[in-house]
Amino acid sequence: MIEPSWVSALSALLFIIGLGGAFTRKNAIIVLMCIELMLNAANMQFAAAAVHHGDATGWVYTIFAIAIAASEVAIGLAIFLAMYGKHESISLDDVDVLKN
Amino acid sequence: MKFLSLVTRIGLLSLGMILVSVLSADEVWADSSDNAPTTSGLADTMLNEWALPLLVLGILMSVAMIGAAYLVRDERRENLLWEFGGEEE
Repeated sequence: MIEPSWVSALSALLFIIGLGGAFTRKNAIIVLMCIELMLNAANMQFAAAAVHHGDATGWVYTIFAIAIAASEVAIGLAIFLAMYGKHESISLDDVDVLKN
Repeated sequence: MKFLSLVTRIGLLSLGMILVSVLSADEVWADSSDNAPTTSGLADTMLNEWALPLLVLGILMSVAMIGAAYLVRDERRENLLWEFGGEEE
């Protein structure tokens, strides 16, 4: 079995890649993907901790986080569709006000 | 602006290195448990200890799906006509 410490290190790397992408990219879909990457890194950490401690609570957290991420993606993509209909662009530079 | 970008990149890199070194340290993962979690244990935990949050999560997902469907609604004339069963003149 893979050691939880390796899984944990991989999740840290994924989190940093996601954080860097969310900070530096301007395309809204790529930013959303980077946020998902960070969420999945956290999920990996929860799973590794669940295996390490022998407690299923970490898995419960993971399932909850996956469900919340799915809701977030649904809402995010819907917002991007509405944004494209309005501005004909999904660049985050073009959207600087919340008012429609 | 370039200086700010550089500082951000250096900060991210150092944060990554700190995270990897802290999380993969042996002392963090020293006292491991012998009993591995099982799927029946997971089901038991979710349906007993976490039953109410699971219900709230279901409601949240329903609300999210309804909200997403509302946000992407298409109000073009031909779609409205089709939806209400009318015919275009």
